[in-house]
Amino acid sequence: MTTLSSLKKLPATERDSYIAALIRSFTPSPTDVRDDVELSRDIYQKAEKELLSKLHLTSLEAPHARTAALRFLTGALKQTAVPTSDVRNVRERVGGKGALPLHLYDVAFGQNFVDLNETLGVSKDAVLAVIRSADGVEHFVPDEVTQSGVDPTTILVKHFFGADPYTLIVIAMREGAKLRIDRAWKSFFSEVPTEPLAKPVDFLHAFVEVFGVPLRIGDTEAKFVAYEIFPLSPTSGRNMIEVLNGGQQHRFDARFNYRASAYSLAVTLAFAIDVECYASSLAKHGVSFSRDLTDIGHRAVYISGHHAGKSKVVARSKT
Amino acid sequence: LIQEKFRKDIHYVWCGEAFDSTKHGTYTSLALTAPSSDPCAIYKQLREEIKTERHGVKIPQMKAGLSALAVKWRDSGEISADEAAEIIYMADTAGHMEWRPLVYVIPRAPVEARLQKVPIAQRASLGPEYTIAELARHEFDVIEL
Repeated sequence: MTTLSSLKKLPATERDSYIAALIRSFTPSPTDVRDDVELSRDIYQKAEKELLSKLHLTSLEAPHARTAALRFLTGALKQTAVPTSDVRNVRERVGGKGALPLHLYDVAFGQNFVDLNETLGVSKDAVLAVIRSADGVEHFVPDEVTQSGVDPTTILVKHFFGADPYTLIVIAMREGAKLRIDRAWKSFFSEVPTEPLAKPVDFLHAFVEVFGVPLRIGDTEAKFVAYEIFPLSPTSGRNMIEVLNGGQQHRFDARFNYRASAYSLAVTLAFAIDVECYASSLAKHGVSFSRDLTDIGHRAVYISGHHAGKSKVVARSKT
Repeated sequence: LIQEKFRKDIHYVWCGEAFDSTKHGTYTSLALTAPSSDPCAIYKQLREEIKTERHGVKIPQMKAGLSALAVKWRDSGEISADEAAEIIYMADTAGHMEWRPLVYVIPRAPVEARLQKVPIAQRASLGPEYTIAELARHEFDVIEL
């Protein structure tokens, strides 16, 4: 147990104020350390003395002694501030904020991935490899004000170099400390420009520009929309996001995340992939898949959103 | 990350006038910065600890410092007890890559009036050091070397 018995009788919040004060006294600070809670000099000195004795140290002058003390105190602070019974809840909250190291997220595969992407040449193992050692991760964190109804989304990319290099783009939804894999595409360097892209969302955008179908949102036409708010008028009608596939009967896979109110449509992500164009590209690169595209249905549509007021979003194929 | 998620992206910085004090003339004040305060030396030390995946002195110091700060912010009412627990959990579970060093490049003119000189007693050397209590994200660039 990483504890200081001299602090044991104090309430938890008081105990960690003393531990924090001890830590601050051993770490560099540009100002005089002033504590916001009143600490008893006597208790503080007893705790300091006990710390030295527990670590078999005579002073904290040497760097290795300070490091040992800091390690001990960090453990003690964690034990007090995040008791074992709370770890699960804290982990869920941190995960939801997109602040958990990737290896601590649980991974689940959503039906969209299993039904479509897995059958189009992306294995679960490949997705797990991306999560283990992603080249880029971007967590979309909905604004606190509009959080309700908008899926917290994470985009990950990993580059696979070889004779025919490609980037595997993975989209997941965060459910606390769980990443639910929703989509994954192979974006070959020879077909999708990769320079000078930096952020995962840029790779997704570039991929959608090549394989996407145009959308109309309000008065805007675009293939890819991320984190935009569109004003709505009472005459906007019901079909606020439309897939403009130019009369082609290609199957498309649409993904819309939004929050709709009476006056605006806040879109987290919106795009639609032409599944047949994408499948032809995979075939050109020798990716084998067993899926018969005709059984995807005319439209494979995933819509997630929240409605307030009378407005409604529908994905609709329009020529 | 912590500043962004818990402090409205407002940063407290302790900074110097020169990135690498060894590149300045021996008789200038900029050359008088001790390695423990020199941004370049700190950057190299942290990068080495991350490269070798070995927790030396810097990473335990940052873990402990951040955890203690979370308690201080909680005690002063700046964050909730739940948020303090989240910061302490994040500091404890962060992998090596999460501690990778970043350099803040702060154009001086817009922040000149807010520069606070660090008292000599708190400095490791005679080289000039400053703090800026509330630096907004748009007031500096972040680079990774």
